[in-house]
Amino acid sequence: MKGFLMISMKKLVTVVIGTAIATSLLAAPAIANEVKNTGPCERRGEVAVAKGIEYKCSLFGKNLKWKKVGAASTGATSTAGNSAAYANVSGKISIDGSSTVAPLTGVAAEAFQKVSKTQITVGISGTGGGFSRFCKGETDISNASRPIKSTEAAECVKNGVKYTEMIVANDALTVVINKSNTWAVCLTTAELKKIWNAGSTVTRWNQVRSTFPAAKMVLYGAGTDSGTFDYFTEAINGKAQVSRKDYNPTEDDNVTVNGVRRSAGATGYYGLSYYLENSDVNKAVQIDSGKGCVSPSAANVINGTYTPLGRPLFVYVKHASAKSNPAIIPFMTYYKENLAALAKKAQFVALSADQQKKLDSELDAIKKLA
Amino acid sequence: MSTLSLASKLSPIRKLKDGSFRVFLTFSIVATLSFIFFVVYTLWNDSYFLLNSDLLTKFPSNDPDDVGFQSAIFGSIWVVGVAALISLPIGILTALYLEEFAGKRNRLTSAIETNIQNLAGVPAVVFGMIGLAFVARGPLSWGFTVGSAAVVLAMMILPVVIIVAREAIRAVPPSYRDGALALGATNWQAVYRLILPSSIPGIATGSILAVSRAMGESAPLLLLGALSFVTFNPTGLDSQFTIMPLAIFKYASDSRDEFHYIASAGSLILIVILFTLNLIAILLRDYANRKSRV
Amino acid sequence: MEVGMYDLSQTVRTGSATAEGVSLAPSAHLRRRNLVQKIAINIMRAGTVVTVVITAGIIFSLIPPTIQLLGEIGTQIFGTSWAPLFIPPEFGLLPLITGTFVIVLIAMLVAIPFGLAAALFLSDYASYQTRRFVKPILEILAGIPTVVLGLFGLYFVNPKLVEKYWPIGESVGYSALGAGLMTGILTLPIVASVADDALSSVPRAMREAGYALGATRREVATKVVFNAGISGVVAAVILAFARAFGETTVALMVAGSYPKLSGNPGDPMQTMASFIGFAGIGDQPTDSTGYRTIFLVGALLFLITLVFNLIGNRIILRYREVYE
Repeated sequence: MKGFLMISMKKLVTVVIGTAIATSLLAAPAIANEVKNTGPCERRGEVAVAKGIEYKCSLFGKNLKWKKVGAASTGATSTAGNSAAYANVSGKISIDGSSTVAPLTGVAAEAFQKVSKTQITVGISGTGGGFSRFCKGETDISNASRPIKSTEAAECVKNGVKYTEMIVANDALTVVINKSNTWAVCLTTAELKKIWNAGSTVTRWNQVRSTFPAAKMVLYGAGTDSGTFDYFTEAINGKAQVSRKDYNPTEDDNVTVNGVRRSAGATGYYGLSYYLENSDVNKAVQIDSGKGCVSPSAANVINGTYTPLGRPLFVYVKHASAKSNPAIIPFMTYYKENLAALAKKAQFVALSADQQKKLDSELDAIKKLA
Repeated sequence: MSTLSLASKLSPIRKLKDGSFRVFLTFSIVATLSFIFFVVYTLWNDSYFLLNSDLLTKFPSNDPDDVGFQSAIFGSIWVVGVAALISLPIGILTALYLEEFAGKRNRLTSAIETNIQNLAGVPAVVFGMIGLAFVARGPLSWGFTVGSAAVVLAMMILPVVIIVAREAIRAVPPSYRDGALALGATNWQAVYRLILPSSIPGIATGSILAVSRAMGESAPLLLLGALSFVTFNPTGLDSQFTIMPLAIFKYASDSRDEFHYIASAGSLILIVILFTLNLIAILLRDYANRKSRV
Repeated sequence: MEVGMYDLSQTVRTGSATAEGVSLAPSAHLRRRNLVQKIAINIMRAGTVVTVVITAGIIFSLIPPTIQLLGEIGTQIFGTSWAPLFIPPEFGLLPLITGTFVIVLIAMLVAIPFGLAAALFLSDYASYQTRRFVKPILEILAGIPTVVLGLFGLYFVNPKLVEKYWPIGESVGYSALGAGLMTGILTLPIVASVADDALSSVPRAMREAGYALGATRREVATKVVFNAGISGVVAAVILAFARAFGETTVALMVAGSYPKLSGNPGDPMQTMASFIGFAGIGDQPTDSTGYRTIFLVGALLFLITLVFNLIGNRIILRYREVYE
C-alpha cells in the first residue's frame, strides 16, 4: 500500500533536522588548525602551542579565533599550585546569594571542582535571597555584596546558624550609560540622588542638569533582593531600599548590561566586574562626590578616591558546615590561596594587604572549628 | 457529478472570495511551516560553528570557551526520569480505574474527571509554587534537589498521563472485554491480562508525549532553584541539579554575546532530544495502529 | 485463563464440583480471584485519590497566604503601582492585570486567525494525504519548548522587528508585543487542534446539504461547517486563552521585569505569571509579605485559568454529546 510506504511529514522533518544536528554534534573534532597568529580556528576550547606560546581557540562574538593564553611553560592555569592536595576532597557545597559576587565564587568553584571530587552549586538569588536561605540553614556559603542586616542576623541566631563574615574582594559600584551618551560623562552624587530617589519624577536627562539634552531616560537597576540595590540606595539616597519604583529591576546584573546597551538614554548600575567584562557595550560614568570626577577602577577603589560607591564584597561561611562538611575548609583554603589569580580571571578588584591578612586570620579561626 | 458547468455560473465576486480564502488558508499553513524552519535556521545560523561533542561533554563555566551542557542534560534526564517513574504507575492505575471500574454516571466519578481535566490546564508555575511550599520547604523540606523537582514534574504531567491512558484504554475494542468476561474472567483479570497489554502501545505513546512536555518545561523548576551554576551530574535524589531549558535560559540572559550563541546551540540540542522522543512516540503509535487493525 | 467449573461471572455465587456433589460455597481459587480483584481495585482507588490530593494541595498552599495578605493590604490591590518587594511596598494589581491582558490579547490576535485557518484547512480543504502531512506540522509547533520561543523573541523579534518598526513610543530590549507574538505562536496549535476536532466532527450530511444547494467550498466551510461547529471553536479559543494566561517563560524572557501600566504593546510589561517567575529567581523568606504576594498572584492566576478551563471543557463535552 502506498500509505504504508509514505513517510509522514513529521518523521521526515525530524529525521532531517535530527541527523543534521546529531552528526555535527557527534562529529569527530577537527584536527587543530595550524596556529597563525590569532587566525581563525575550528574547535572551541582547543589548546595549541606554537613557538613556545600557548593559544586557546576562543569565541569572539560569532568567530572562533586563536587567543594568546600565555607562555607555554606556565602550564595549565596559574591556579595549579598545590592542586594535588585536594584530589581526594569530596562532598557537596551549596552556595547562593549575590549575583555580583557569584562570578568570583563561581570561578573558584569551577576551578576547585577540577582538582577535587566536590560538587558545588552557585545560585543567584540575590544578597537578600541568599541570606534568607542561608539563615534557614539551606546553604553552606552565602555570597553578599553588602554586610548582613540586623534583621537577617537575628533570623540566623533564631535558627542557630553561626557564621563568619569574610571580605573576598573589593568592588566599585559602577553607574553606566549607553555608548552613544556623550553628555553624562560625570555625575555628582546629588544628581544621582535626583534620578534615583523615591518619588523622583525625572524622565529626561535635562531634568538632571539643564545643559544635558532632553533625551528620554530609561532606567535599569538592581532588584530588591540584590545587595547592589541595598548598597546603592544607601550610598546615594541615604537610606537602604529607598528608591524610585518605576525602573526595570533585576537580580541578574546581565539584564542591566543588556538594557543599557540597547537604549540611547538608558542608565543603570552594577558591580565593577560586570563593567570590565562589558566595557565594549556600556560606558562608565565618573562620580563626583565633592572632590572632582573619579572613574570607577580597581586603583581608585584601593586608594579610596572612588566614594561613596566603593564597597567590599563578602562571603559568609556557616560554622556548622565547616565542622561537618569535609569540603568546606579545603574549598575556602583554595579560594583564599588563589584569590589573586581568581580575582584577576573574574575581573574583580583584589584585596589590599591588610584585608588579605584579615582573611588569613579568619580562615585560620574557621579551621580550628573543625 | 460535474461541477464545471455550475462553476462557470459563479459570479466573479464569489470566485474572487473563494480564491482569496483558499490563498489565506494555504498561506497560514505555509507560514506556520516556514516559521518552524525559520526558527531552526536562526538557531543553526547562530551556532553551527559551536556544534561538536564538546557541548555534550563539557560543563557550565564562566568562560564561554569551556561551556557545555552535560550537567543540564543529565539533570533533565534524572528529573524527568524519576518524574515518569512516579507519575506513570499512578496515572495508569487511575486511568484503569476510571475506565473499567468506576461507576459511569456517578457524581463522584464525574467530579474526579472534571478535576483531572482542570489539573491538566493549571499553569506550570502553580505546580512550582506548591512544590516550593510543601516539598522543597514546608512539611517535607527536601530542599532544592532532584527529588523535589521530580515530584513537582510528576504532579504536572499526571493529568496528561491519565487522559492519554484513558484514551488508549478506550481504544481497545469492547469485544475483547466482552469475550473475556463471557469466558468467566473477573473484571480485574480481563483488564490485567487482556486490556492493559493491548493498550500498552497507546499508553506508551501518550507517556512519551507527556515526558517530552516535562522536559521542555522551565517555569516550575525555576522556583526550585534549578537556575544555579551546576557543574556536575546528579548522583542521587538528593543532588542539586539544573535542567536543559533553564541552562539555555541562563545563557540567554548573560550579557556576553558569546553565551547567546551557546544558548542557541543548547536550544538545538533540546529540540533534537524532544523531536527524537516524539519520533519514538509516532513509531509506537503506528505500530499500535497496525497491530489493532490486524 | 482459569475458568471455574460451571461459573459465568464472579457475581454469580458458584460452587465447586467435588465427588460429593456441588457445594454453593465459592471455591478456593474463586475466593483468591475475588480477593486479588478487591486489592487491585483499592490500589487503583488510591491512585485516583492522588489527583484529589494534588488539587487539595494547590488550594491549601494558595489560599491561606492569600487570605492573610488580603487581610493586611485590603483595598490596596486596586491601586495602579505594583511594587510589592520595595520599601514601602505598593500592591496595586492593575499593572499586572493590564500587562497580562495586553500580551494575551496580542497572542489571541495571532493564534485565532491562523489557528482557525489551519483548522478549516484540515477539516474542509485538505485531502487525506495533505492532512497526514499538515497535522504533524502543528504537533511539531506545539512541541517547541517555551524557552526556545523566548530566545527567539529576545534575539530576533524584539531587536529586529519591534525596536525597528513599532512606531509608538521607544521600544528597548523588552516588549509586550514580542511576548504576545511568541505566546500567540505557542497557543496556535491549541486553537488549531481543538477547532479541527470540532469542525471535523460536523456530520457530512450538513456539508453535502450545503453543496447540494450550490454553495462553494468556501461558503460551506465558513457558513455551514463553522457555524455548526461554533461551540467547538469557542471552546478552542477559551482553552487557548487560558494557556496564554499562564505562560511564564516567554513573558519572563521577552516582556521584561518592569510592571509598567501602559496600553502600548511596545513597552515592557510584567504579567502575573512572569512576576511569579521573577520572584522565584530571587528568594522570599517564607511567611514574609513578599512570599505571600507570590501566592496572592498565584491564586489569582489559578482561579482565572480554572474558570476558563472549566467553561472550555464543559463546552467541548456538550458538543461531543450532541454528535454522539
